[in-house]
Amino acid sequence: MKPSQSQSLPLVDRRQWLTHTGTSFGALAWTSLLLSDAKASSQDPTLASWGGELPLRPDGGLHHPPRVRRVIQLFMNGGASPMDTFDYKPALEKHHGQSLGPKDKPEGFTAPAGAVMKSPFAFQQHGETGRWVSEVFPHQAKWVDRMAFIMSMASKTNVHGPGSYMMNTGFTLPGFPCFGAWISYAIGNLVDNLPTFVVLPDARGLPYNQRANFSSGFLPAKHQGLVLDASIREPIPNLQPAAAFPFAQQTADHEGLQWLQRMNSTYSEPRTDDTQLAARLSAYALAAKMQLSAPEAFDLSRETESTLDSYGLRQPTTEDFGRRCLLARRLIERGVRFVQVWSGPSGAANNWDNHGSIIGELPPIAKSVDQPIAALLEDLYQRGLMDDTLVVWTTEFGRTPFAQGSIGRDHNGGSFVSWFCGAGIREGASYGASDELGYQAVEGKCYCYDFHATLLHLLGIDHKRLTFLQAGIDRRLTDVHGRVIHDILRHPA
Amino acid sequence: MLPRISIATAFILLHGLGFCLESFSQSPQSTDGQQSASGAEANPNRQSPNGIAGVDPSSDNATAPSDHWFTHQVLPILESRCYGCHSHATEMSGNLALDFASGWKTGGDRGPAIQPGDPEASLLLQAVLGSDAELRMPPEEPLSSNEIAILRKWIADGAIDPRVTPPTVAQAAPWWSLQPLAASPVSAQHPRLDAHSANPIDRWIERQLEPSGLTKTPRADRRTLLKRWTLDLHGLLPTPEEWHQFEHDTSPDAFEKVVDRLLASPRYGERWARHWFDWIHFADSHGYEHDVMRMEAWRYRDYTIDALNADVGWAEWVRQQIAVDAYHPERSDWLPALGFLAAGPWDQSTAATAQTTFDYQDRDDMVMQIMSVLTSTTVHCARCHHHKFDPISQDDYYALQAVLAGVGRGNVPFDADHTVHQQREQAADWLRRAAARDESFLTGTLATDSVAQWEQHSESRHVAWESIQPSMLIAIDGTQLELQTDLAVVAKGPKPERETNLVVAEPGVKTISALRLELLRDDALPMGGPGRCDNGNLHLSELVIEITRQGSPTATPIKIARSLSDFDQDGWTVAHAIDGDPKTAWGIHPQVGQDHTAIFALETPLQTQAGDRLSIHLRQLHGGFHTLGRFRCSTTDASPSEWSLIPSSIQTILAVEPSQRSPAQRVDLAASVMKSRADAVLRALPPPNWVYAASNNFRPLPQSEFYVPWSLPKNVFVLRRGNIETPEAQASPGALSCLNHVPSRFSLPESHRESDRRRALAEWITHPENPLFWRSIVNRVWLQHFGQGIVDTPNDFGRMGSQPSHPELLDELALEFQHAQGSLKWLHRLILLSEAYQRSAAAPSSSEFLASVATDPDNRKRWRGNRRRLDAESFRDSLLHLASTLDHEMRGPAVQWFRLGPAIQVTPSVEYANFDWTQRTAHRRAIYRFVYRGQQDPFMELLDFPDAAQLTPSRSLTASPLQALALWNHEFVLNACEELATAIRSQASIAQQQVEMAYRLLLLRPPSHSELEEASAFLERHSLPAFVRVLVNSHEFIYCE
Repeated sequence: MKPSQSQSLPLVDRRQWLTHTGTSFGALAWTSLLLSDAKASSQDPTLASWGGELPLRPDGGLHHPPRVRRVIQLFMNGGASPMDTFDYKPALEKHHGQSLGPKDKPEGFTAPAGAVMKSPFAFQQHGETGRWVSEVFPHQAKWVDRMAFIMSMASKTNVHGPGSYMMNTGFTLPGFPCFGAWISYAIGNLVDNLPTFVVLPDARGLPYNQRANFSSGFLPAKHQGLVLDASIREPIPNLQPAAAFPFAQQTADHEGLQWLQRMNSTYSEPRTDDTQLAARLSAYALAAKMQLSAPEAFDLSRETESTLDSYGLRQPTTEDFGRRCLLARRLIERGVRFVQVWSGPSGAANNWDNHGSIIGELPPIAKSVDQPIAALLEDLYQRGLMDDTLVVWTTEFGRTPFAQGSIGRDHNGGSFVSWFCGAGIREGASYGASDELGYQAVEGKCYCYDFHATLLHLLGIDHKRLTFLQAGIDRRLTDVHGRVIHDILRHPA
Repeated sequence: MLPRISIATAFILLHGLGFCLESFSQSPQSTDGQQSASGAEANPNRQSPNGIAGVDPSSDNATAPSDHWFTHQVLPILESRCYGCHSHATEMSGNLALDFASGWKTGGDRGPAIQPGDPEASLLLQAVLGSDAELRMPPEEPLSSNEIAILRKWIADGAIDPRVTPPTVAQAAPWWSLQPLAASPVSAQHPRLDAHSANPIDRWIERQLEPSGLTKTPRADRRTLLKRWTLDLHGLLPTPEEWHQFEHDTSPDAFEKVVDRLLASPRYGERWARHWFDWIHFADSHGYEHDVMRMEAWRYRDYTIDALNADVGWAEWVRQQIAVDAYHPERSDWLPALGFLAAGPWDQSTAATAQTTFDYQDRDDMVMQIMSVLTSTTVHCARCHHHKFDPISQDDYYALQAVLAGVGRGNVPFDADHTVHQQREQAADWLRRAAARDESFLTGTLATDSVAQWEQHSESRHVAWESIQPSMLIAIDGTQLELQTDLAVVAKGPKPERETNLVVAEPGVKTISALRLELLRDDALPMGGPGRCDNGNLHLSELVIEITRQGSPTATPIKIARSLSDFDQDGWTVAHAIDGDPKTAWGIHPQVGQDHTAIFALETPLQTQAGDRLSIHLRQLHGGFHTLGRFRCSTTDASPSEWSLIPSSIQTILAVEPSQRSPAQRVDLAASVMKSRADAVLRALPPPNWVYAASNNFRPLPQSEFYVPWSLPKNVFVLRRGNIETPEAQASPGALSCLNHVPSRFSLPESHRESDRRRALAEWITHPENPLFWRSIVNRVWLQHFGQGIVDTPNDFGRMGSQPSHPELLDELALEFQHAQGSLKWLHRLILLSEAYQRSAAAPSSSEFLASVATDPDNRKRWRGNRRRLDAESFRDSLLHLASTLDHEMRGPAVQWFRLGPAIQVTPSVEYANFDWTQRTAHRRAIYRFVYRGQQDPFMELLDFPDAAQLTPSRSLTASPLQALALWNHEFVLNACEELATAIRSQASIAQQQVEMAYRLLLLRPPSHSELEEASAFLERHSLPAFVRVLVNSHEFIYCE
């Protein structure tokens, strides 16, 4: 939350402030002072613990001017196959059927590697950049000139749980804050009437690691992702009292809340030294604002028929992902900072974990996202949102060029693809490359550290300076690694 | 701009680890592109290499190449730009170390890094020039031209490098937390302060306060104190009755009485178990991808609550949790203590597909937990390289992993009832001795008495068996069956993986009440049989009996009522031979090479006539050659019992007059009798209980059957850069070398038991002279009571952690705690009765108060009390407690405040919405709820229940709009408001009384006049629960002053 007046206030040292205050404040004045009183950040656990935030620059960046203010991340759960989507590998046809893979089962493979398997899908070049895209993505193929690709993503693991942790939190272990939590902690929200970080999981279930992918880890809990069920009309939890409690409705509700705020103000007044009281007072005020704004934000009936149609809401295959893409746009448009849209639940089916059959399992999941993604990009451009919105397409790792069974592919942390589209991105750029089979990234290898460093950079954050002291270590999203991939940026440093 | 120089910074400077600065300096860095920010930061005390602007090193003829020049010009560049990846303290990337001369002389994977005198031929220079993309270094920002020039000159001048000794681990230089606990009696120095208070806490706090100019706040009022004490010890708000009693207690020991009452209540263990579980990241499911439920984890929860309530001494309690099986092998009922080691997450997917990675990762979790929680050290930082800040080597780290190399996590059997366990142990002992033909035992009083007794009874129970004379023998998968003279059937010839034998006989006129199947040993069979499997085993999947009446074309199956056997393989009981499931079977492993007997009692006795045919189908469908080797079938018309399971060899002995039996026969008979007696004891005992724990004897959870115990501890290697591909020396069990109260590598005999390793670690940890152990717990308890620690980083007493605010107090508390036998209750009492604890948090708006706030805003000197919000459990438990609807039932399986939906693979979906909060189990205390690690309860989470994937030494308590919505609208809260309203109505019917009552119940005070007016007016328009809802959301309710 960042009310505009906070930015014009001088940075107040907490001690100074405390000695100069002592009169009563309205909730908003409190809030704005609180927000600017955050110089100590992670160095001061008491400050962080009640939710103090880091001081932003007037332009909204933390360390430098931001190019991006809002992010939509599309996460293909299960390990989307690069060589059957965006990473065209003619050599696979040449070596099809040959045993070129590792002899012993590598750690994390679910089975010994089979023979080299060519992609069962036709590839074509698209756009002026001539980017190769397979036939499973006919809609996204139209947007390749606007996208920037990292063709050399790699993971340190071949296992879903650790892989998902890595792409979300930068660590293969549980307990670390995810990207969304870090940016909530770093730069907060654009508005104060909606949550900062929203997660829209597949209607069929949560991804690998369940909610732990959206955890705030050791950051204060308020930074965790708000997981919403997009299929219900009012997905924000506890927004209104349930009808089963008649005593909590309407005027009893409104007057009760007003009285509560008076009561709490009275309590806070003589306790000027304690900022957590004011923080809690303002939380209730913001909750009330959220009650007013949220229903409209989630009301898809306000969209035109043609919009619903373009996102695929009228077709069963694309309906769920399309709805969530559209919701993502509505939320972003209203100032939510970060929305994560997941494709595919955990488990062995209905996702991108195509062990059994690439030709059988990949096309349906690809189809379920392709048209909605294209519609989302078009919509964001048309509304001018792409001026400060970034869309990123990610997965936790890639798949082997070697067959599993006869027609599936196994996990492969060695190489996968990610694309960026929107604000701050050099359109049509491509960075890095995998080897001729697509087994290992060989040129410009990027881990999640570089991916996250680049995202943070676009948001006006230096990944090396965004830290939180935990158990004696100044933790970073990028651990001790990370470099910004300037090659895909429109304004390289 | 230079950073504040913290202790850590100073340390890094001393040790030349500039690399780490980037991650902990908070100061804004220069945006001047010419200036390398990290370079500037690394050396605030010396001139930065970049600070020598304008100096052209190549023309610096005045400075001869010398050690001095190296130290002041070259070294800072290496330190700040290279050591991050190329030093002993970090990772030696590419096997290249640049932190001593031999490092670059030997070089890394690409050979020597420097050719002295020849800059252009030196890899180091090529790397920093970045002309070769593959070689380019550092990977992030390139060196400035000035820095490159300095390096070039250094190499050109012969690369003089005085760093001749290899760097070692961060030296065990004096560091407060590693110093022995020191008694430094304050009274000797400050006799006046000693007189001031008998409580050592106040003596030490006063000593700092007195010269500080801070104004202490007065003691909080009694109402506040009661609230603090009750919340701190029970996690509950006090009731009006408790307040009434305390308010009117004028006795001089009124305070002590309250604290003692609270400590004596079982609510205390329930509260403090929750803190412990936060610290050790305990939960009821695995976490990760396959978030499997640990249905038996609650046994450890109950153990913990009991141990806290019993005030088990701290050292003893820790010893139990690490190695109770070594310390108290006789106390099976204490085995749940080992749930401690298994508290954290478990990655089933990695365990299944990447075993080596998994083993190191799993032990890492245990090592991290043990050492963080019990010794406040961050040893896990030494996994990939020596610890960067503390004297902890990689060897130390892997020595700790080696301690745990024998344990895995799963369900561990134990007997919750100690007497049951004693009986089970005794029976197991008889079995062992009988099997070993222990003569002294088998000819002793117990055995001979048992035989005599048994023979007396056997007379009447003797059952006559008649062996079946087969008329036909069929083996459908190709085995050759041969009938021997003793009517035994032997399998010979081809050896199929599976087999079904058919024994057909014409019994004539007879009554058959049971069939006996004898499995007979035979030296010709593998391991002496009686099966044909290589290990002598067999698996009888199904036994089916049919009768074909004379003249009838069809066979009729005969119902078998029950089956008995003299021995069952674990998990392969004889009941499986008649359960109709071809996948289950009866087996006899590991008791191979001996006879076995099974009896199949018919539901009703079968009358056969001349010409009837009896068919016995013996199906052996498991595969793996688990087929019958030698066997014999018999029938009886008597009612069979366990006595009928006597092998025929023993029956032969029984036929001999007791006085005529040979000594060998006596021993055999006694062995048989003792075995059957032991079997009978075991059969009569309840099945074992299970706890999810770490042990070398566990049963894997369902769906992870691949993960089975291993007999000897696995080999653990020191992994270079933490990489399983680069193992180095094998690690032997041990602990930290920076302490020397006991040797840091454990001396264990060659043939030590697995648990001896853990016992050795427990000894090392709990040793009276291990200062970390005693300081650590004292600080934790302090932190929970004061809201902040004497050391603010409970899991890190190292150089990256905080320093103690009151070091002498910490030591005195630790020593006194030790003398009090590690009694946590003693420690609580001391703290809760101190003046420092009892100070008011409230803020009189005096100038002294504001001045004190300005001087010590964080209250490091404890001049005031800290205001604290109720945590998730305290809030919800207190609502029910005050409504008198809290269910105080203790123990038992975790209550699930959610519904389970369909599982994807092995992870069920967990549905928290629309839960019925009126049901009884929803009124248990929160400590008894099932904590789903990967699918947390959103309500508890919004109230800052921590992520159980991580150790949480103290919770951060936040305020957010979503939390406000939950407190205001969540169904649990609204339901509790109704329950509170009901409780109030039961005592007060008039609106004004109800208001009075509500204030007294929830806030322990009467309403003020204006409050009474406003509340009454609200009640006139709205209902009592609506009013209660406002009060339970109020600051006054939710904060403890």
